[in-house]
Amino acid sequence: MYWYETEGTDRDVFVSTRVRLARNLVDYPFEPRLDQTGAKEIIEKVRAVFAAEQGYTFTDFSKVTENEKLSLVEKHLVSPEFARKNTPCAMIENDEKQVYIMVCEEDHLRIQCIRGGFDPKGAMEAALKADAAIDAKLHVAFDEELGYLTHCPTNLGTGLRISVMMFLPALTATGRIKSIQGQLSKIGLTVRGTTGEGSAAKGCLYQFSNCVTQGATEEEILNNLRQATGTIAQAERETRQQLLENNEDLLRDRVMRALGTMRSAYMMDTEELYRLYADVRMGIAMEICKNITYSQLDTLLIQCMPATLTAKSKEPLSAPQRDKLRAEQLRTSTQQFG
Amino acid sequence: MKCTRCHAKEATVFYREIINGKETKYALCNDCANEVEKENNSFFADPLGGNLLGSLFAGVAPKIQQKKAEKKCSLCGATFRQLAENGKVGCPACYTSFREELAPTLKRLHGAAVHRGRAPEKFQAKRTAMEKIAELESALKKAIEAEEYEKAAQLRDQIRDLRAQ
Repeated sequence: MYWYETEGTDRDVFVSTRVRLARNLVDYPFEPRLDQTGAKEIIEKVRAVFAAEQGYTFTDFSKVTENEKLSLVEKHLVSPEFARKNTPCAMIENDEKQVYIMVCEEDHLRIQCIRGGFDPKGAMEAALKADAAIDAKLHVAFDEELGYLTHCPTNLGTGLRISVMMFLPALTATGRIKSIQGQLSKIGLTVRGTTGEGSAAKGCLYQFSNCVTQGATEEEILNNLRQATGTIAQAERETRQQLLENNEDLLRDRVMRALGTMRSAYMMDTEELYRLYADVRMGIAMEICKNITYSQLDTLLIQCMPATLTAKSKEPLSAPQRDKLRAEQLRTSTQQFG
Repeated sequence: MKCTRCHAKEATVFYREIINGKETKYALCNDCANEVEKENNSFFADPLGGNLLGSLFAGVAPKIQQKKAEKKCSLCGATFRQLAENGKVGCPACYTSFREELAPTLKRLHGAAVHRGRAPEKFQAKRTAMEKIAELESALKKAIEAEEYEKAAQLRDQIRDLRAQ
């Protein structure tokens, strides 16, 4: 199951947890010095490793359509940079649809595991399993002092980036998110909105990640992020409770209006969808919307993203056509929720 | 190439600045580079402050570039100037070829850090052996201090055997 289809742990605040390991093979340069022959050799070596392992599927990414690539980005399964590549590259996914290995991305290998809710340990274990398979058969670039050698020095050492996607509507509404953002760099973390570097995160979704990759063990990086996001989650829940106590009628009205719009709109763009998503998700957390689960709503959000909608229709769509199809999808799904 | 600032002396410092996607190239002589650096601290500013990957090597790059511009990586042939321009290394071997030149940048990024995380299996075995040797050496020192020479001899042999492996 994809990460958004699972309920996971603490989904009221935690949307997903992603672990990414950067690995490279000795004897091969990085782009732009990596020529097509070298890239194909790397792809073949990695393909052979996972052909011998149970439960992985190989995909030649150059044969994937542009829209399907964008849909994978919308699902957070591959990076936007990987989707834009026009040189040889490949993707390996596991049967559980949680481990995605990008071959010939910025690094020769980017092993990624994404799971629903807060589960850095589970995500780490799955990523390390794939890492062990590579380590057993290929010569991975490593230096005893520097650690795993990466294309960009910012990833050097563990090559580990843990990203936790959090849903923080109450901290956003009260402006407290800004003071949290200001303090993060002091503890080696960074935050950004789901759709880029902008301060206004769409859908009140924020992605927290570690900055430093060298000098700490994987467990220490994980624990640092666990501690910080745990504190943020507690602050979010307390603020939600205060908002509910002080403005219950207004909140109920806002949530039910959002749900009503989802159930009846005939046209809807993604900006509006993100706003409604945040209100309804808040409604689930506050038990105002009792017939909808987090996984149902998160799945619906993914289904309504532009490229994923287009992939479903199997033909190119204009923006108004997508808005119409999106509204149709929302009406159908919300009626099924009851 | 003449310095783009004084148009008189030969340019020795090459610097590319990318701000909000707009790229500006500088070619400066040594004197102008020093003056510009004094006049405007942001010229070779801390790249992490602005998140400008392209200037990751800023600050250390100009001075080292002048001395080491022609040194090339043994595997990919990249020069340190090319690394400095891109903010990324050319291949894994660049970290060995330019260990000295990269050290200030890595210190700035990660602190004076040494890798303590996981390692490939073959390195892990070596690391475990080194940790065991350190432990035995500590015990050896204590044994000598306590004048337990028989025990010290055994520890010495164990250390020798581990080192031989």
